[in-house]
Amino acid sequence: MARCRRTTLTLLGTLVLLASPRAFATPVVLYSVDDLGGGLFRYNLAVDNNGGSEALSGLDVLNGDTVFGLDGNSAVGQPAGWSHFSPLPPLVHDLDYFSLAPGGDVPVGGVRGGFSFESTTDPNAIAGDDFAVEGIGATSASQIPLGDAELVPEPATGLLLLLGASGLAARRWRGL
Amino acid sequence: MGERRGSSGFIGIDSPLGRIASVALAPALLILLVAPICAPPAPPPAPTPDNVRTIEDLVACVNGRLAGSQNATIADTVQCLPPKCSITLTMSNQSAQAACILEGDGIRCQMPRVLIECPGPPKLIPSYLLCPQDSESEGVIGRNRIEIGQGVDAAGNMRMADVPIPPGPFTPIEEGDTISETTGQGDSGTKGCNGGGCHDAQAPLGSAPSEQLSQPIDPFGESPGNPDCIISTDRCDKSAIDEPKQCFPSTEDSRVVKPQSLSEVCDCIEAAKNDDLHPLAGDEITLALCRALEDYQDTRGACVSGGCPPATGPECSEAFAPCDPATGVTVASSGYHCQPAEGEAFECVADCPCRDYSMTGGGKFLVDSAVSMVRLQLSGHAATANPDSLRDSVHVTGELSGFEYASRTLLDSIAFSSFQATRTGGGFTASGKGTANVNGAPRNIEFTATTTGGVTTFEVSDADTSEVLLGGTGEDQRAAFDLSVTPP
Repeated sequence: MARCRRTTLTLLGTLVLLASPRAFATPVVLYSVDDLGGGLFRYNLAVDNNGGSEALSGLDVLNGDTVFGLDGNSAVGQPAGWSHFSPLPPLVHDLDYFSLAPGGDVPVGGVRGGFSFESTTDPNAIAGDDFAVEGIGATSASQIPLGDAELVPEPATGLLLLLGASGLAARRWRGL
Repeated sequence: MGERRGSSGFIGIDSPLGRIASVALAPALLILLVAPICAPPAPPPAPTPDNVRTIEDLVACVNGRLAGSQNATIADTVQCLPPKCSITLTMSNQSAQAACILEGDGIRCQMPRVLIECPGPPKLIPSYLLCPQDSESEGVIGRNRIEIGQGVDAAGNMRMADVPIPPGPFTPIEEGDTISETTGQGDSGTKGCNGGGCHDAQAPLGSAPSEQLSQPIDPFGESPGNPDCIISTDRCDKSAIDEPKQCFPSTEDSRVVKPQSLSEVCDCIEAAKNDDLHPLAGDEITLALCRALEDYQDTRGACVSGGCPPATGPECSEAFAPCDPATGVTVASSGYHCQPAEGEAFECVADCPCRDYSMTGGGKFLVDSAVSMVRLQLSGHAATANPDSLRDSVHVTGELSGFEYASRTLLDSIAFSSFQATRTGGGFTASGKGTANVNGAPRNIEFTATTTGGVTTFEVSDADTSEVLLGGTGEDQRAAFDLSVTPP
């Protein structure tokens, strides 16, 4: 039952993550977090290439080792057609995703989710540039700064906000 | 008169019959009593391989291990090699154990002579031949014989032996039949070790005037050695060829040899053995000998886990003299020498001590602004007198992964074949070779890595075409390698 609920929430979270309207159209990485219990969290990432100048064939989490404690034994997921290199502490800190074929790239104006990793780092402890990310251009093969990944409301919060807004709207409608 | 009988009723000693019996039995009893003292002593137990030091030890070990075998082959003798010996493969055909190249059905196999150098003391140098043709001596082909040299002095002069092991029921080897002795006519020795383009003669020792000594041949030197014929070695102070070379070509033809590890030589022999159209078809003995030597190199050779000569040793007093690593005492011949240690002390350490190494790192590398990502983890152990310079073509294992975004070149699943590194100041240069999957297809690759002055570079290229596959200059703070050598 709990698993079913968690799956539903994750799906809703992904929907929220993918459908999140943004005020400024520049490429960005959005993320949500699932609390897996026992101090373990799954970070779900989506690359939004709205406003980008070229398709993206790479995504790098710059502090994969130093902030999230990732290494070769960490659980890392990616969308079909992508692969990754884990960090190699203490020398290499990046978690590097790469697209194996053009068909898997994040097109200009497109969004691709399915990137994830599990970490014991509490999302509430993330601050500053902890979650710095960068993309790799599919045409130029060069790095494209993406700033810091942006947290989107977790599914339950999103639903509550949605319900609250609906309630307010209903009361206002009745009051009219 | 009847016989007088004793009280017991047996024949009395005073009777004629009793006197005869006592005269006859007394010596027999004496023999029985004294026999345990005076009989020839039982032969000592055959030395274990770990205790083999001399020609006689090796022969005794072979006699002990192969006794009663109905299907003995030369491959069975490899188990008697002492530990910690280096292996060098030479394709020289200028020897009583002449290497050869066997071709057929598109398979070209190098069949080298296998030189094994054991640090001792004393230094022991057995050698085998993988070529199953010719090099016959006393009716036995070179592949079925062990040639053995044993150092007698610091100059490397040797007493020598030739041990035949023809396939079939094992016949115990008589030590006296194997040692090269003086002939009284010339100084080639009874085994023909000296002269004729082979060893130069050395005068016998006063303590063993009947043994014909031979001067050493440096297979890495020029004539009668030839460095261009060395296709592999795990000696720490020497190197093999790193590209195809001409090894004693005939006047009208070329004789190209290429670098090849013992494992690769065995793989070729195995492929040829299973090919009915190849001269090595069905040659189980040559393959068994090769695999036995390969197993020796991997598990008991010059530099294996737990079996390596250490980089430290007991104190010794005679600087740079050969010494015994157990006691530090100066000896006539040894692969250990009295070398300076910390302060004014001297230690008896192996000429080729073994060190563990590892190299890890990777990160983000750029050519102009085009990105490659790399991960490298490799380790091994190598015999090297200098911890700042090591070379390993036997024990290197690890992983190398890389992705070049512009061409979407993915490299993974590598099997390393060699690694070498040199440390200078605060940086180092490293390179290696192997076979990797490049976008799913196997390719021979080589890599180079440098770290100097805070700048890291890394490049992987196709070893056959020189095409650069990935790499570049490491981005600041985003790329690093570390090389660790123990003991430092």
